[in-house]
Amino acid sequence: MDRIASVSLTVALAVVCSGMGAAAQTNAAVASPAVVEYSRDPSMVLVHFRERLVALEDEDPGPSLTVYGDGRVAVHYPRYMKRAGEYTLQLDPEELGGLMRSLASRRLIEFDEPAVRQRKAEAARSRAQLFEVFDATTTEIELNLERYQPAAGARVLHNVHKRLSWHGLRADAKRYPELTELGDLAAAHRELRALLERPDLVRGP
Amino acid sequence: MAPPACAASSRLRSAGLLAGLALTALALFAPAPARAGAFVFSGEANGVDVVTHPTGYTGSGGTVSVTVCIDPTSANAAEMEIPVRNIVDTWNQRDPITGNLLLGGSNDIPSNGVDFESVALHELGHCIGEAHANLASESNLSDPQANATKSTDGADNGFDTNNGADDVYGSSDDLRDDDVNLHWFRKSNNNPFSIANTVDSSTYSRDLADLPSGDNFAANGDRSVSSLLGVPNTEAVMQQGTFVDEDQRRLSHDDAATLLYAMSGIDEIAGTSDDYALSLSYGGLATNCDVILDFDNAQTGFAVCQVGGAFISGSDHVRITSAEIFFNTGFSWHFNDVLTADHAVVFEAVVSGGVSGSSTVTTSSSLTGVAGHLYLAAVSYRPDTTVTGVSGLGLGWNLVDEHCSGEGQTGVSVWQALGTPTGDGTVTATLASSVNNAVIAVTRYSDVRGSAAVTSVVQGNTNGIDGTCSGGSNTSSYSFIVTTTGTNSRVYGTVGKRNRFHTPGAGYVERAEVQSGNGNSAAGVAVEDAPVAAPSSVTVNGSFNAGADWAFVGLEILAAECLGVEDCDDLLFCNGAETCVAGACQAGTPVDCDDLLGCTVDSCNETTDQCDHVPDPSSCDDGNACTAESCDEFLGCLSEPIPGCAGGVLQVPVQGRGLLVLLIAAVGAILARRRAAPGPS
Repeated sequence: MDRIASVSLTVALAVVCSGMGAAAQTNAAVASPAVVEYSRDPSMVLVHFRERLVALEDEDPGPSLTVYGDGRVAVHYPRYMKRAGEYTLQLDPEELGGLMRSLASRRLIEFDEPAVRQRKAEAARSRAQLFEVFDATTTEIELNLERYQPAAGARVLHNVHKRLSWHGLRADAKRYPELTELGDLAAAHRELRALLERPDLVRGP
Repeated sequence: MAPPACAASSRLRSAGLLAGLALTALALFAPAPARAGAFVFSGEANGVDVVTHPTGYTGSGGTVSVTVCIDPTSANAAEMEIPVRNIVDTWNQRDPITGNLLLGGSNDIPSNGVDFESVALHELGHCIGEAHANLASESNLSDPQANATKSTDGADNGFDTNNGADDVYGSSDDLRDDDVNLHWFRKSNNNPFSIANTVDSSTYSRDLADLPSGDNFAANGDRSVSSLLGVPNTEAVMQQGTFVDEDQRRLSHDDAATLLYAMSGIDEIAGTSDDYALSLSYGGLATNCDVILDFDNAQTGFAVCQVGGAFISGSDHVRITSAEIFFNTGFSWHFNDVLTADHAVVFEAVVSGGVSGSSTVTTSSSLTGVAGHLYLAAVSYRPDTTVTGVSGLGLGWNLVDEHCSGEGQTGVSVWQALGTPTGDGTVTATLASSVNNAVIAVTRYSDVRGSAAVTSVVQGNTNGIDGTCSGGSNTSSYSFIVTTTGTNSRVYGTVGKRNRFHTPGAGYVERAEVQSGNGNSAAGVAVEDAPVAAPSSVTVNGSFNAGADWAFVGLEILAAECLGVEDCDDLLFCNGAETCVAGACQAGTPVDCDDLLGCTVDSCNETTDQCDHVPDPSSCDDGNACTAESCDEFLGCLSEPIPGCAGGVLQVPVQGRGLLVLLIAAVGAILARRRAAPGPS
């Protein structure tokens, strides 16, 4: 990694949660500090987010967002969306730090997809009513961190590359509130979606 | 109930011993018809044999009515109405075609647009019980593997999607190892672009053992499979995947067959008592329907159907219990503005109000004023009186019917208004005298047949139809027959009562129930309605929480024949331009082709959409041998003197006779040619 600089952030989750809305409140019980370091390299992708529209057959799979180490955000809307085109946005260091802290607080690095899928299947079996969602989108999130320590005393992870994918996240998070991992992932999804939909995006590469 | 093909998945939940014995006997003496799949909820978790039915099916035959509404608070609610009415009609018709994919220049969708009607048609299919015909995104596979036919992932917990020698996923030569097929196929040919005359377990199966010889797996309705089978530009609507700039507003055979299979009932045998007819109806902008459509970005990034269900007792069949369809606003949605569905009366809104000790009663809130909509005001009072007039919205109100209760303690009066309101507003009824209490409920309906919308009026009370106003005995229910005459009508019933609570009859939606006062002096009114697809004798009924003295008025609201001239145009020129007047088609005035010229034969030409005027010189003969007559298309008869002709005899020198012969021959030729010439078009 072409490292120019890195930022180290110590996160007190209980404090972070105060600004994160109701969904994040579920994390308040885990009030241990986390340490997040990320590159400031302008070419380094810190976060990549895409909502894959699997029910729409097109070469362009869906809107996406990429956050770089210098705080630049690149947004892509496919031709079939109202905001079709390329947009950019510049986050100042404080905003970028806030975003990275917030995403870290969602425990995305620890997200164990097969395990959550298994727990979801068990939860579904326990429900009296059958339930299915058709044509949901697939949420894809990629995180790149230089250093991550989920809690004080925990093992420190270096050069963390995490890729997450979940199909039908909106409905699953709503239907299975006991699966807090899905709640966290949905909160991260909403946060990135809000960034994607910001009205102050500037058209152009 | 057909014996289950897979004992492990059988769900005989509450069958009694007798039923169990009968089932065993069936299993012993009849070949086991494997059931079809590709239904919502079918799979390893709930059973591969699950067949899912629309909301309302209980296992008994009859008509299953499913209402479809648009959330009135939704973005694009107005633009959604025509497409939603179209998809309701499309699923009702179940009229499959080949070539149901119209791409690019073949449709009216912008090049970067996504057709709302096509997507909504697919989602509604889920909400009435149909799953994807292919593995789709829920398999976590991507294209093209996700195009393989719907199945479980088998014992190895992994989908096996070998696409066989034809290199097409979803075709009959796919090799699927231990994947368990969930897609039902036509036994005779495994061709999803065909349909059997009777769709049930005798003609369709989920069991691969019933495949035609040489086939490996059930073929699905993917567009690549259709090309392989020689029916290009065709795809099952329930195949996942909508393309940009694509019109897929018609069902394919596979879509229709899946629904028809479910309609063969619990026993999966068509023609038996548990079969049902499915009748979807558009319920307008409301939230009390079986299926609700809404734009809500918190629910979806594109479009989803969220569906809940419950097993029908004693079977492995499932009934849908909740269904919602959501869309995301961020797309370049194209909303079809051409109504292809038949017109149907739609409930739009209701307001109500009550008053004590007054001779007027007014709704407590405003109604939206919409031109061409029908407003029905139901007024009830205690004690019985008459309504002398209704006002509001700037409309003229007319009495439909008024009737007393069987003991004369109360009554109900129904008034109608239709036209062009001056704006939104409340509605007020004026009574002949001040009463203890009075109530009013005003409903608004769209797509009605103008001033002729209200018909088939019935009135009654505890003394029966047209019952007298005294001597009646309280009853806790009512039931009258309204004989309807139109298609896609709506039956409306209102009951005036006193201190009682009303429960609508089966199949009816209560639009309003309002009461003013308490005890014996209370006045109350309830309004209910239900869609009626075709002319029939419809029972309008309801009940009360205790015996009541009540008065009833029921009626039929006829659907519009048209909303605009395009609905009436018969595409013929000569019978004139049809018009749509107040929801009814009016014949045009036939084209008058008379050019007032006596020598032309006038007619109307449907081919050219013009009048033809063919000259007929024979009618121009003036009896003078010294004139040459002709018929001019524009001037009429023309008469030209023949030079040298006097008194009917030609005066020419002998040496000029040769010239005369030539002249006569020339004139004759000219006349003959003009007679033979076709008229200008």
